[in-house]
Amino acid sequence: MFRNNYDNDSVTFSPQGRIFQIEYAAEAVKQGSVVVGLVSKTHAVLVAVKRNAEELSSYQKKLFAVDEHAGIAIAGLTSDARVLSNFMKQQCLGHRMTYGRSMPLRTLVDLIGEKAQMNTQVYGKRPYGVGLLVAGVDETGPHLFEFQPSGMTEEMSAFAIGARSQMARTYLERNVESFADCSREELVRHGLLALRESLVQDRELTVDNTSIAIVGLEEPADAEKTKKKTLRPFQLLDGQDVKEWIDASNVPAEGEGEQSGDGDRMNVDE
Amino acid sequence: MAAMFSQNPVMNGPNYSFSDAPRTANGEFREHRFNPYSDNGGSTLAIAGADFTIVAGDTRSTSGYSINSRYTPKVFKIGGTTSSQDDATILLSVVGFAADGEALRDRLDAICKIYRYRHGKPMSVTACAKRLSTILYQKRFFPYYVHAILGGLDEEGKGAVFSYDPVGSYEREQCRAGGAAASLITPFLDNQVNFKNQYVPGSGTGHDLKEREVVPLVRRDAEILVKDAFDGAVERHIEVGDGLQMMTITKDGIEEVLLPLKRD
Amino acid sequence: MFMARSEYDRGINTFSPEGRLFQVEYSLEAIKLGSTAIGVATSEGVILGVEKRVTSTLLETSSVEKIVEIDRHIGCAMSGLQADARSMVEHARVESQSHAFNYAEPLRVESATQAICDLALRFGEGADGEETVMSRPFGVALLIAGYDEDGPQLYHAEPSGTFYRYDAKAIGSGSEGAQAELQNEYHKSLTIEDAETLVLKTLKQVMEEKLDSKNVQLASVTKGKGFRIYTDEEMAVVVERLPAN
Repeated sequence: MFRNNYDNDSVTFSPQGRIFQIEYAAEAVKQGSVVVGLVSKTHAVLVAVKRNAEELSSYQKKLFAVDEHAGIAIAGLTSDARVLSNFMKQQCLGHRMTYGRSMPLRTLVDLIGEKAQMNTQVYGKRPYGVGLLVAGVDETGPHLFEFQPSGMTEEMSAFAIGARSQMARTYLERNVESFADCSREELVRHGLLALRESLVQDRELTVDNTSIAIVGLEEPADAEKTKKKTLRPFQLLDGQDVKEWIDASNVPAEGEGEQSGDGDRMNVDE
Repeated sequence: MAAMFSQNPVMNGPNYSFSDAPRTANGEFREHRFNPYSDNGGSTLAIAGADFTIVAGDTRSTSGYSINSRYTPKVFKIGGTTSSQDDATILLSVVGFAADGEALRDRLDAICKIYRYRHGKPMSVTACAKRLSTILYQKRFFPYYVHAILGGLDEEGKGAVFSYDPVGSYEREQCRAGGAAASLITPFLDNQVNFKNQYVPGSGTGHDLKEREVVPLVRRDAEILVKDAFDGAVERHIEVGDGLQMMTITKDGIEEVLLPLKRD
Repeated sequence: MFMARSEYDRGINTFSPEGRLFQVEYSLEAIKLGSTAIGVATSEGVILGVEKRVTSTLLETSSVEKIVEIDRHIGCAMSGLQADARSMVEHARVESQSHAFNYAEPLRVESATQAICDLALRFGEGADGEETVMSRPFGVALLIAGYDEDGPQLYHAEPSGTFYRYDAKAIGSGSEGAQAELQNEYHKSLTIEDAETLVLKTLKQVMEEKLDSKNVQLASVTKGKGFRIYTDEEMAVVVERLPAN
């Protein structure tokens, strides 16, 4: 009832103590197509479903590298995502130039969190209408963070955002115990299966609409070196490169039942 | 008075006599100001082949008559996606003031990375060459005190060498030597790479003599020439020596070798 | 509640409860009132076509400029508030020359499109962190056609700052009918002549006025000739080729 009176800008509280413009910005995230992220002890993985505006158009990219050790998955307003991703790329490069090492994930995520929060507290600005999953590997290992338009950032072991992402999150919650020890292949498989849960009934994962990104610590190729793992840089897979991954995830394993989707929210173009 | 004209850093400058203190052309006492530049010596060399490019530099760093280090590289890989530069496609060598050289390398590398983000593909060596020129000219009134040489393979796969003056004037060349011993190495290259002043024996007399035909060098021969050029420079120039860092770029990537040079 | 929607659509930076920016969506509506523009990409090159929308016989049709050159290898067609398009095109031209100056190579078509879309964001924060420049979104959409090392490409740039690549796209008042027609008729092995005919045929279907060589304009981008706007003679030839209705 009171929503209409207290939701014109992000610098107004409602009598119940809510800021509606921030909540509405979170709705924009739910309009974007689903993306899923997971971490194990050695790897961090992002998978996404891409949308096309029309039959004859290209598919909107969802996964981006921001440095050799980190990347993001976006859901929501693509233009806002671009602003944030350019900012992250500049910060990572600058950090590397000053300190001679990769930027720690927590530091990077804190920077965008602060940047986004400022937009929610200055009159005339609006919150970013995009949610991110930030995945990467730094000196403390692989990490996954969720970023929300409010500026809130939290570290996750696995998460999904976007349209009908609750289905994917349910799958992830059911299997979360097994992720830490997963191999690279198993982790991607879990990601694709989680993604599948959120698809509309008649859609499926194809080489056109699926993206996969992997970054992690692996033993170097030459066996003479010590067993210490080194960074395998952030790798983005699209098109034909994802075919073998999708095919591998089609082979069924034990006890993965089909969840029927809600199907009540309309897909709106980003 | 002899002290004023001596290049020896120990002898130069005021000793104990104020009458012997350095003066400007007007006759006023020259004030001591912070000199933002210094010369770290060293020499570099680049040769473009038919399908390869070699960029080499000695590894000695000097200040006057002293050696700072026997191993500070002057040749760098740039344009790769990772900090180990495994997939780099461009080589930059810088000689002159080492701090400016390293700053220039960092700047050019960052710009190459941003180009890759913006345009989704690695920067070609011709594009990088032009961009380096604009970077240098941006500091036209406080220049990077270096002689830069860029090496790589052009879009047709042929070797490419670009050389620069401190403010960005550049040209694509077949080969170029830079740094302290450039004047010693260049005549050697003219004769051995471009076969200048070599004639076919018995082909005539005087102006009728036929010049030796210029053929592109094979990679192995070029590498031997580079080592010989530096050995010659090391003999006669004090600022060149210690080690030779040689990087060769082909379509298969960049190989690096480190060879010893005389340490005296 | 009928009132509800009108309260969220005023502020340029105001989200609606569903998470939408209505001002941006309304600017998209402005484009739907604009004259129709069509682009078709083939393996040989890209064809752009616009209806000039000649409202009076006193109008000098050659002065209607709805297709413009951005660089030798890139051009665009516009639909919507044309005055807005001028500053976008100027920005793209400057970007293109700046790139050529700094890198001694032509700007890629996708990068040119990205440059235009970065400008579209400037009613909020810029793509590289720049401050706000405008108080409202642009009310024009562009079909950008070009040729670079990836071959012929067609992009659609919108006021929201997003762009998609297309094989064939129609924008403006006749876009719905035109897009359906394009979807039926488009196939990957179209030649340039086929594309010319397809564009004109589709324009003819959705235009209110009777199509002739003076009230439509074609342009093409190919490897050999770069971006070219057709002359009156070339227009007459293509219009002649159209099957009689």
